[in-house]
Amino acid sequence: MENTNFIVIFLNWLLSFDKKALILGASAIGAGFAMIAGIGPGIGQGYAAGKGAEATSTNPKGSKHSTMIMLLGAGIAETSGILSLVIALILLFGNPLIKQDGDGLIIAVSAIAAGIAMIAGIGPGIGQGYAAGKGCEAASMNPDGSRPSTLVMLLGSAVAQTSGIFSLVIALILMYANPLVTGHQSTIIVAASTLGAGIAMIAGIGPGIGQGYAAGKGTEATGKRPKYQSNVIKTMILGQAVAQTTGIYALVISLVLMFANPLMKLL
Amino acid sequence: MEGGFGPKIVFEIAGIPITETVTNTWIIMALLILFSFVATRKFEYMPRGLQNFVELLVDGIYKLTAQTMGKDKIGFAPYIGTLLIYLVCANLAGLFALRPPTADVNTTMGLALITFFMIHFFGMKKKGVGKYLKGFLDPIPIMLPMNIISELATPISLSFRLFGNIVGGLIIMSLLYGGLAGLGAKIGLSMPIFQAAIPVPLHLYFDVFAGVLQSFIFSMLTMVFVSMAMD
Repeated sequence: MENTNFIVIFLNWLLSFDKKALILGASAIGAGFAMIAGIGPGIGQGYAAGKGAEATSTNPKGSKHSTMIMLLGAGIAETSGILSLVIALILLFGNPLIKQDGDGLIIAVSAIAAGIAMIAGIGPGIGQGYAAGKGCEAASMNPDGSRPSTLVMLLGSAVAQTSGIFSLVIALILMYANPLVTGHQSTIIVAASTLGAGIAMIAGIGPGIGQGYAAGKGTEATGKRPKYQSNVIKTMILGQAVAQTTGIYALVISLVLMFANPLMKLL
Repeated sequence: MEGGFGPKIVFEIAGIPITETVTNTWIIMALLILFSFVATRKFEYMPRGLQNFVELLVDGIYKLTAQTMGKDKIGFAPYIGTLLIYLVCANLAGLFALRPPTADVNTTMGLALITFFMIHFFGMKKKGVGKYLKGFLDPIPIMLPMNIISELATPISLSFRLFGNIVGGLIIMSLLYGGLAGLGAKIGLSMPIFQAAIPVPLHLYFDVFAGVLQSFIFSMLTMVFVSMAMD
């Protein structure tokens, strides 16, 4: 009898392939997904470059200095792109999933989910780029305050990276220590949970952009009044910690899906 | 981390595997102890040569600590200085063909746990246990689980920020060296000419820029978190 359920047909079709081929194919998709994060650094660094050009015209004498700060900030904004590149390269060159025992479909989905998790890198990229632009602007407006404002930019950007790092953690767990690969009852639920663990991390885009905005404004504020640097840092970090909340929710859901999945008990 | 990019096991002591991470940490420790021993002999009133450099370094660390944590918390400067100097040496180890100890999550997690316990120990000591625990109920008591999770997330993000950056550079560099060696072999060169110059800018970015910056960020965040817990 012909099965009419599309998903069942699709899964049966997938399972008709060799296990290794399935994992390798999924790794290719995962590597592709991971690189989507490049959107973020692209936008962010473009903004920083624009602010750099503006700073040069505002204060031509200090242009060398503001260009240095722009490059420093752009270098930080590149981080999430590099983390994604690393995940993609691991999937392509040092794939740990091929050697794993367990259900082929779940391991394959782990590769895709690891890639999807890295998409969150868009957020930190945009946010840190904004902070870099503001750092550049602050240096050109008030060259005397550029040291404290650069420091605030570094700190704020580092915090804005947090959601990208959570994604990295989830991607590494999915690739090296996915607890769902062995000891399961229902392949489809486990595979879907794995995919869900990766998709949940996309939420990291939000905190990344938001915290980057806070970092940029903190940098601007310090540039205007360097004396109040430590007060600005405290307010900025407190606000960023609150902005992190949804990212932490995503991390918790992702970890619950992998380590304490309540859906398995419903079967 | 098992797999292709993990640290190699050098030898075993009574069944405990000693990895590259541990031996390289020993090398860095030995060099730093030797340096501090040599540098602190024969101090003079008017500094000369090496003493100039050492005074500049110590002075800079004290200034940075006072500026970031406030003058009343200057007592943290020795720890922050140790952390900063160790991290810079560890992250730059890649330049000397040593695997950076910070490319192992055990190292970075260990350091992040020190920060984690410092945050809570000094928070309790300064505020008193009752007031400290009450802080978890802010702004409304229902936020308690969220506050606990976000406290636990601090060492995770702190350790993986450093680890991710350093191990990322390590993986990209090792793939680049492998690729260049393959390219040289294909053309039929017996000398590693490609490996001599092409990786230099990437070393500058991944080892020097990212390494120094991440050491600085790790120390700065430690200072900010500890001083925030105390205020």
